[in-house]
Amino acid sequence: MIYTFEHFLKNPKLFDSSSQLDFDVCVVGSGAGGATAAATAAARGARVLLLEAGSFLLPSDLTQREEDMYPKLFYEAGGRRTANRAIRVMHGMGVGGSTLHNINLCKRTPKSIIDSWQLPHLTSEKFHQISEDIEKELNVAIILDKDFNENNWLFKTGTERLGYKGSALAHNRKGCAQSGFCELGCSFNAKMNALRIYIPQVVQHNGVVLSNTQALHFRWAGRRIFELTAQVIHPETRAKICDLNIKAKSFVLSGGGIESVLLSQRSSLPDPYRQLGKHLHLHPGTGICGIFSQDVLMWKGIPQSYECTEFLSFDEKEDKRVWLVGGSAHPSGVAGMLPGFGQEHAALMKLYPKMASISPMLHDHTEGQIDMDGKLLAKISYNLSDSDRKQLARGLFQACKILFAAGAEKVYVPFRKLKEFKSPDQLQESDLYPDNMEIDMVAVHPMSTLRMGVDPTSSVTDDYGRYHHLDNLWVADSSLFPTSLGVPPQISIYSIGRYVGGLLPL
Amino acid sequence: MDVPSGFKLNRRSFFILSSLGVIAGGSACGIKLYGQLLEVNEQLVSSRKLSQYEKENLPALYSAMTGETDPQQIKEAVEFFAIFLSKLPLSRRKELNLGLKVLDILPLFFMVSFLPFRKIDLKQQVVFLQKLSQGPAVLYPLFGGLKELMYLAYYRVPQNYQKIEYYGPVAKPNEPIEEHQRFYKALMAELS
Repeated sequence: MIYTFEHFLKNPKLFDSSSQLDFDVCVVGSGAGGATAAATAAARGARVLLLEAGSFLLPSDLTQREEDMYPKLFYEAGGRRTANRAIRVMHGMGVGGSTLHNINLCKRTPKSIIDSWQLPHLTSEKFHQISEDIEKELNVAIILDKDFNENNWLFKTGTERLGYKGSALAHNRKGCAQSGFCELGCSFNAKMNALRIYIPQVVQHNGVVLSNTQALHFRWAGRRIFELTAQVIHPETRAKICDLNIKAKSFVLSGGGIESVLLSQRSSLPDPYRQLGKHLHLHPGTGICGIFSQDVLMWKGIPQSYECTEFLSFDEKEDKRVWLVGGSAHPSGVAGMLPGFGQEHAALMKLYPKMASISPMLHDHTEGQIDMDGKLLAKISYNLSDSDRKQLARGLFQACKILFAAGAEKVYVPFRKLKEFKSPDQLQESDLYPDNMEIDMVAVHPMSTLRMGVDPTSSVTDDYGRYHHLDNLWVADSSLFPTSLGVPPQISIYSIGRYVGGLLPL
Repeated sequence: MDVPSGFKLNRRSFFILSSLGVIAGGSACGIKLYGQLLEVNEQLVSSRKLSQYEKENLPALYSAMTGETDPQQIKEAVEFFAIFLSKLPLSRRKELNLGLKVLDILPLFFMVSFLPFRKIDLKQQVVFLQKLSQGPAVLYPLFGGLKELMYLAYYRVPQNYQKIEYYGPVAKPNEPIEEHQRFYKALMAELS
């Protein structure tokens, strides 16, 4: 059963009897990690409660309008930023978490990255076996050439002309209408995501899902958590509808790289080595635009179906840490990134139909930190290191070259003072080195903030995903990954959810 | 000296007592509600009413950033701001207000006209924004959120889609793929 705030409005005492909120497993957060952990535990026979701060949205709620969807799909209505305001951090909410708004990219974490974690119980072979199972369940398939949109065709053409390494990407879609509004949620319900695949499994196995429910504090003593306090909150007014006191044998944190940390910090969970919220990686990126003579309509069709991996290597000696992927954005997203105001800005926006975009994303070595800002908000401290800025400059430079090779007449790099290039000869990698605030960046992959490890002095959980200092608290989301993954984390988060869900004691 | 021999409930004292009761009850309810709301602290949504600063500055900023001068569109944008801002956490809205205040007073120091931002003419406003956006990095945080907000408001209007040949949403909410809807239909039945 899925309960929404409306159930509690009608009857605030819906779960008044304390026995009704006593479960084997309580999972906080219903995204890729939480939904999979909950479904896995439920299938094993556990009585599962799954909490979600956001709303339960149906395809008909997904209006493809930015101004409607940002408040529903993202924390802080999509306006969450790092403390220095340089990077916009889009962190998803709603039943299904970030899988509601992601672009469906499916890439496994490379073997060398998993091996570098040196986790005795989570080997790369084991992790990839789980990922393979998940891929089958999510209908993961390579996007065929015939389904490439114009933006990705141009990206592919430019990459091939320069002789760079590139390939089509795999997505988890079924019955895709190719409307191109993936990042605002799929109105056609074609995403094979947590909401469509794993939440129903939780319900089918008699699990309970509470949406619009904000987890507030763990109450703990010794090495055990004995209760979680939560509030059901009205999604529009955010006023409290009722309190809930939840008991469970095991609790699982799955709120993602930011929210899981905040709940841990609010609850003052034991952290003798001050590891909570440290080691944050974001995979920050940005977008550049090439202007073509023909219409591109980058917002139309399947976004991000091609990648260039020429400048990404997981061999540290090579120092290649930038991944190039086709960009896509709707008007306000593009307008917010383009420099200028008034008529000058309007003139740039007129070129929107002829723009093709490539996004360089960093496999970042920078480590940031999450702290509480008040009770429920996050202070995200993250200052891009010099070596990461150099990688970004390389990514911007190469993306410009690819757009020119594909036939772009001009290329714009959205620094605060717009950089416009009319031929590849004008490009200099050093000109594209960004100072901290000089270029607008976006990040959608916060991770590593409750990382796994065998050494409690440098990690928060063991290699089963269980807190070092608490016996019945587990983590199943991107915060577990000890390092940046360098690839979109979706498949790896589902996999870690399956892994942890399979280990929970019943 | 007259000593009150006992309390008599006359019309006047009844009125006073009942008024006090209503005030006390109202205050208690208010305090309780406020206490409850405080528990969700920053995520408490502020009202849909715009503050004086927001009312005065958002329309000016909207015009300057987007170039829009049509009074009807500006009025509708302000209505949109009132709704959208109410969905932001209170502390984030305060930050936005601080940004607006700083933006409003900065021209007093840097422009010859010695007028706040909202009072200078549109052309000067655009020039001021350009200079500021390319000025010291410390001022840049003023823009990020405000710029996103302004263009979110501007490109929600179908007439403005046409200016950039964007066709807008294509969803046909009542035409979902049947197989995909099965699960939701069952759930919706359960929910209702």
